Amino acid sequence: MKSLFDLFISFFKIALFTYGGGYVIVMMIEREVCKKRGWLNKSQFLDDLAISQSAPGPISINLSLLIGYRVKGVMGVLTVFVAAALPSFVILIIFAIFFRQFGENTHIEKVFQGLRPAVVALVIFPLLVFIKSKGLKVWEYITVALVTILVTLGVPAILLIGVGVVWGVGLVKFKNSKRSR
Amino acid sequence: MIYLELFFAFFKVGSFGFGGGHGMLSLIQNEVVINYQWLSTAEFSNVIAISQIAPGPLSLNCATYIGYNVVGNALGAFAALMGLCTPSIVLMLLAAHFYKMLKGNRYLIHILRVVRPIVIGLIFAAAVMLARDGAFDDYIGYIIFAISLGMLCLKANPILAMLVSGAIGYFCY
Repeated sequence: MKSLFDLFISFFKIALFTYGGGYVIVMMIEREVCKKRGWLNKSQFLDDLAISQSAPGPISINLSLLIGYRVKGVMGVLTVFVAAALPSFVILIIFAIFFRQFGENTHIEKVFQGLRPAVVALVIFPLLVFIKSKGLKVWEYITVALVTILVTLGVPAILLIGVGVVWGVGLVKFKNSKRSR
Repeated sequence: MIYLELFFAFFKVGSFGFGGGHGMLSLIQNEVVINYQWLSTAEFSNVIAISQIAPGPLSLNCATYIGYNVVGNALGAFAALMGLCTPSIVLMLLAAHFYKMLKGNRYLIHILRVVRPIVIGLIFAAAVMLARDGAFDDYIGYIIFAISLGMLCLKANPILAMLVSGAIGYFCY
């Protein structure tokens, strides 16, 4: 039973004290489970991270769940889920109650007005870093532009992702059929 | 049944939202602003700001906050959060079980190769939609945008950039 408790404490602590979203959380998880606790070695961690990033859903949650499974099976998964989600759940409800009470307050509305352009910058910035460091191929730039235009015109994002999945599967089938010929 | 709607809206986000928190923003926007019209774009921008300031994963924070606000109680927050995370729990249990088949799987590699630029486009689109609705009503908006982007480029903490932007908003509007 001890390690379920340890699992809970580790992931609860990370969720409660890590600011800055997914990738910062991933770094904190590595420090905790590889270096401090020694539950996983580095290559197991990287395998789990690769799968977490390949799946839909919050990456840090996917990663935590996989690690929970490695350490303690299905019970580990459930324990880690509660530990990782509980701080968000409690803190954001407190925020929601607070802003519901002061939502009409003009001072707070002014602050939010100032935050709106900053939110745009925060959303764009990681993309600029990614494109600058990794670069994109021509077809990727075209896809990015096309998707941006379509979604801003009102095409549902899910539809485009669905197209992407089908396209990816089609690529494999196409290559298979070329090879078998 | 509003709780089921919340669960289902975020279940869709959790099932198709590749690329982590930012990649999911466009899907959340699509559900809560366009489909169900629970929030305006300006309110959605507020939700992102609040979710960034709080600790924890962005998408979980957004789901909890939106869920609470739509119904006005914690059960709404719970429905949205569980909707978002249920696909992850199911998929990761499957992944742990079929671990060996996934590593280097050709379908997975090709799907991800195609989905990646789509996700980048989705994030740009989310930014465009946030920008065209109330972020740049006057010149102050552009100044705040330039300052916060500049701070991020200089590797400032995002929360610091938000504090500065919020302060400028407070004193200039």
